[in-house]
Amino acid sequence: MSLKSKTLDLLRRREKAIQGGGEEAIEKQAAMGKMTARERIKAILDKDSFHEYDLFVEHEARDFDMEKKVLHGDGVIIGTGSIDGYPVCIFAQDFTVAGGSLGLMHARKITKIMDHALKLRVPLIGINDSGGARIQEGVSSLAGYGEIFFRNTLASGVIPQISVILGPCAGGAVYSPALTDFVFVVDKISKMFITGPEVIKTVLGEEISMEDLGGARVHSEITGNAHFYSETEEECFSQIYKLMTYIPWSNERKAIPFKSKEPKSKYKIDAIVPGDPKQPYDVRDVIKAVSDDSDFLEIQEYWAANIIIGFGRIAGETIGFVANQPLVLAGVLDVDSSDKAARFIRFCDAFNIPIITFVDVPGYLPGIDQEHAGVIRHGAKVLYAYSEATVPKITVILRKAYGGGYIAMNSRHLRADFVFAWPSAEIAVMGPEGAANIIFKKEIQASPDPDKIRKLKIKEYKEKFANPYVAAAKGYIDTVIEPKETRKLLVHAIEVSKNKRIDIPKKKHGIPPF
Amino acid sequence: MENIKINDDVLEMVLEEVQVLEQIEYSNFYIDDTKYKTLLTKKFEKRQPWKSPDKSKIITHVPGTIGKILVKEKEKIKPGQKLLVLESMKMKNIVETQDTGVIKRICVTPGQKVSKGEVLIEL
Repeated sequence: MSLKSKTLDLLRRREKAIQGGGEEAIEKQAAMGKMTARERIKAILDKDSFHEYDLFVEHEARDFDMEKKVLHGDGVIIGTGSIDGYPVCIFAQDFTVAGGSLGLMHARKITKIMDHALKLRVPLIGINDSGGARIQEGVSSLAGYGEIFFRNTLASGVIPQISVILGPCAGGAVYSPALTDFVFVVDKISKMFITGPEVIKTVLGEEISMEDLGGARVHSEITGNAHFYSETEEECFSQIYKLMTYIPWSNERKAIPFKSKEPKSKYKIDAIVPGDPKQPYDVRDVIKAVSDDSDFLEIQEYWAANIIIGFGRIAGETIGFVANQPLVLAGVLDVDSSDKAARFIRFCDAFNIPIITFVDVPGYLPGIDQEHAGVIRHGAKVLYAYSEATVPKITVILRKAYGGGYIAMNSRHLRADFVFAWPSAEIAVMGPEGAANIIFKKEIQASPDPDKIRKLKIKEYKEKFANPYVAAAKGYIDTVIEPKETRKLLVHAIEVSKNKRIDIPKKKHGIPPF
Repeated sequence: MENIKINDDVLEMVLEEVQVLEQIEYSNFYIDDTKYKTLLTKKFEKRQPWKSPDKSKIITHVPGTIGKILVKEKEKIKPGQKLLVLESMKMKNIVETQDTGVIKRICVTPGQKVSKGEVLIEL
């Protein structure tokens, strides 16, 4: 056979293999409102940048008549490509081939591209759309999952790992996304759960739909498993694209800087925050009033909304923003918000992203439900994450910073590099009302007019302690600034922190309060 | 572009959809005697008030089906005694007591399906 005819033979083989599960299965996929695995890869990556490997892989199953079945590519597509010029490794499960079920060779393809990503130090993107383990391959598919989880863990903190849930992702399969850094879900398409509605019904007698059990909304609002929610696959892909511009290829690099741009004039920093610490406002406006071009990519927007996390830029450099949100639950720290902030801080620290923290916190949320849900253990995560982080850490105290909340929100005591406070800042052990009621309890009780004396004492306490100057006198904050000076000081702080280096005691690893 | 007639003059103008700004209703939220104005989350609003456990009632912690009942009414029971079998999570779970007492009433019968939190036995 001549080289030409051998090449033609290759093209024919290729043509056949890329059909995946065939026309009928592709039509079914479209009927479910889903793109095919190939279409997804094409939509996420730069034009013509995708190069596929292991197209001709075949499964080795020999039981249950499996030897007679041809599964093109064994239900998964792997390869390398780029997003906005950034190299990435990618895999996409192909639901049209045996429901995207995971058998031994399917898993080997995924682990191959994971090993590549780790070796090459480039981000990994995994698109999940699979019915789960391929039952016919038995324990081999379980082994496959295990090999994937192991690599997710090994790569954690070395390369960014992104999971895109574009179909069912059930049983053991959900643990791979859970081990990665960012999980993207799409309304009506994504489904994640350990045990499905069927099993729940037989075992527990409780009836629930797939959507209510583990749909995109559930994971975005209730569980916090998902980081980005969208209505359509296209919107999801543009979110991925945007995220990629903020994060570095690996932990050995910094995110590629942009050109510095002033915030938009509609965000007027001195007109957002009410002077009364009891009044709400949207702290995202403060972030947008200081970030380059007022750009802010919020993460986990719908879960634990009492804390805000996300990426923006200051002077062109990627910044991880953490801010208490007075608009929701007065911005308290609780189990979920602590969890949310702590994990984000650790991502930023692992990938050399400076952290800017805006503080307006009344403390930790009181309540039996919180105590029993382990607010001690979860709240401690914030302390751990900030203390452990060695990237530049800058704090701006906007208003209240009370009690444990003050300490936890990147205080000087957890080694913030710069702590700035607005003149509206109140750094105190608790709010004036609570403090006065305790300190002056006897006087208030002994008075013929307790309400009057209480009000008087609250006022007295407010005047003495509800300000930034007590903390400034002790050097716990570095300077009290005018609100309109905030961006200027942040730009300066980021610039002077570029060569920050601190050494932490040598250890294998710490033991965070997981 | 729409044509609008005002006092016989026909004006051409673009009508834009105007979003009516909703008046946000904030809730009161107390921490350390301070009253904050803020929005509440669904999770916060749905939280269950805590109840001290009632030792006179033995309740289910998982849904399931009642199997064999191993005690009788008016029977004296002591810690570690097996009370009944609850079939749940693909297992036959034996429900034991941790307390001493006298059985006042058995509230379930074999074969009955029970949900979480249902009373099995009253002491």
